[in-house]
Amino acid sequence: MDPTKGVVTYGFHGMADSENVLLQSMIERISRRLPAPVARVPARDAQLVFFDDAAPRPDGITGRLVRVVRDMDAQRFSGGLRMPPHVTDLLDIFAEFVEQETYAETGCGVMKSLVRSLHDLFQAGGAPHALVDGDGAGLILYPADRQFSWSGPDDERLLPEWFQSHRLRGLDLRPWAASTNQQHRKRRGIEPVFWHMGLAHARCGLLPWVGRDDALKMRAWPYLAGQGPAGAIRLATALRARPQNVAALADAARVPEAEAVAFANAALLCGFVVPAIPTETYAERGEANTRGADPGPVDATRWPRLLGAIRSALGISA
Amino acid sequence: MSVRTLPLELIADLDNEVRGLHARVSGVIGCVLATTDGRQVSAVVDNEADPQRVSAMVGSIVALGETIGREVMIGRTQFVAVSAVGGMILLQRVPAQRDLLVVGTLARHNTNLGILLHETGITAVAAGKILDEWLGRDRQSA
Amino acid sequence: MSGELKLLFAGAMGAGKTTAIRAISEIAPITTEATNGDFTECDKEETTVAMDYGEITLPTGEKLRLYGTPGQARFGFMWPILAAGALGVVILIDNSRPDPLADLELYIDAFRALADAGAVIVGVGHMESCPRPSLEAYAERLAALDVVVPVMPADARRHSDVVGMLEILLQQIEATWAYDEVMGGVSACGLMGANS
Repeated sequence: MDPTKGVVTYGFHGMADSENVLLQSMIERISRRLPAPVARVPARDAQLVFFDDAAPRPDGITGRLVRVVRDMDAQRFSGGLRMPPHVTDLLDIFAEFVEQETYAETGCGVMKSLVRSLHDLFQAGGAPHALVDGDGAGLILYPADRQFSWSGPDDERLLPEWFQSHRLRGLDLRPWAASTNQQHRKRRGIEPVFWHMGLAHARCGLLPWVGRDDALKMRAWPYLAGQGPAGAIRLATALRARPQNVAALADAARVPEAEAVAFANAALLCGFVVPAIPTETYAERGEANTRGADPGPVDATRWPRLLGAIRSALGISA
Repeated sequence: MSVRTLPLELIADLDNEVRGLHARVSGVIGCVLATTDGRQVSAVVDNEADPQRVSAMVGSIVALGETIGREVMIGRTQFVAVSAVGGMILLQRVPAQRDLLVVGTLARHNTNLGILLHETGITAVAAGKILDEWLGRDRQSA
Repeated sequence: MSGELKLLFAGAMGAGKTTAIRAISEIAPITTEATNGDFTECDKEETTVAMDYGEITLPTGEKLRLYGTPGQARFGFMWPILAAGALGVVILIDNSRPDPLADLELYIDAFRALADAGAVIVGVGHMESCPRPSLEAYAERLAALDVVVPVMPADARRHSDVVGMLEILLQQIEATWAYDEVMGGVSACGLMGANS
């Protein structure tokens, strides 16, 4: 939703004019049943873009894409619209969009505020705090030592759940005074907490203090990459090769940008990745190149074939 | 057996053999006795070579020589020789009940190779006898 | 250029270099083992004193040669000899040794050129029985050395672990190669010349 106007904008890409007219008229007819007013705008400016599945992937469009599929027998599917259009499908598409946008404005507000608070707390190395959820379960945080412990039974498996949207609103961060029976709890490094918080924050984009165009640089190997996202190892190896922003990183690792954002958030919060100073971007690699006097035994043009052959021999899929 | 547990009298006897070789053969400028895993046991070296490093290399090269001997199916390797512009070095295992020691003899380039081979062999056999006697005593006392 | 393809397995005595090569080599590894004379360092009966060697035939008919280094620092003279022209190095660390982080520093320093070029991976063994130092401590020690290389738990006896390390190593080599292509630089790999 356009937060300044409360209007959902939509547009069309690659579809026949007759279909555009048909869809627009249907949307206008159901507009009173939608949770927000709607307005048709050029595809480039729209928040929701209906596009022909067979058409070339649209460039320069930043809105959410809704694929149009011409199949009478097709089932309703997420992110798509069957043609000819069903009123219920259109209602669902707009309702889901508004719901997600609303979360982005409110749920993300909570998430961003929590991430900022925890980040600042650990940056300052402050006094112990408790992060408690609505059921009273909690994490004890020790910022000065960059550690945490569970207030109840240890359960690492719960960490991925901790920052999910349904728990987020109930989380409360408060100062914590150690009681005698809680002083001997097993402490561990804070990184797994930050890693999962960073992954969860991906729904709300990059961390608030990181820009989409900011180049990121790897400082230490993200040994938690095995805990997600799926392409984390590829992302780590790509970022280790050179500092780059998340969009370039996603391209280099051949993963969706959302995964690159999740990885960047998690690795930034843990300190594995830091924003690169612009002059660092290319200078450091020059040092590595000059260290070896031998340019190597293999002609560089052979690399793709050779690496493929080695992978094949080892039974590794690229 | 640990080198750190070799008794001083054993090391002294081995030292005598190493020094004897160095003294009696004209042109020999160094002799190193090392464990097969590259630790120095005894050494006399006239030039700037580091006997600790040389000991490790003697262990490696004797092992490599024996490995290549097996690989090309020419039987047990008797010695390894390195001939250089400024001299030569002969390396061989000390024949004993257990393969624990190797010996390396460094000589000037004009040294007679036959004599060097013979004398290094004598030293290796003598060191092997000393080692075997010690191993025998060690076994009896155990 | 000869075009020899080789990978190196380095690390402390008893860390599993020979075992790792045995796990993936298609030939029985050629070894140069001698009686271990120092049980204070490791209680193995035998130790590699020159190198281990294994090989894998690629679909192209070429051989990928696998070399294992002798672990003790006194055999350091062998490391640059074996590393000359290597595609990359797998450094195996044994977490049950007295000071694994010191071992890490020793081998990173020895293979620094390859580490800087993104052609090194660190596998840490015996983490289940000896969880300290943690992976976090390894990552931090590497960061302090201004080196970023992957570090992961690995059991050299497991074929899947060895292949898993090589998978990440190859990804790194590929990513660095792609970067060097863009930058018009030299090949990232095989950087360690015989004289380095």
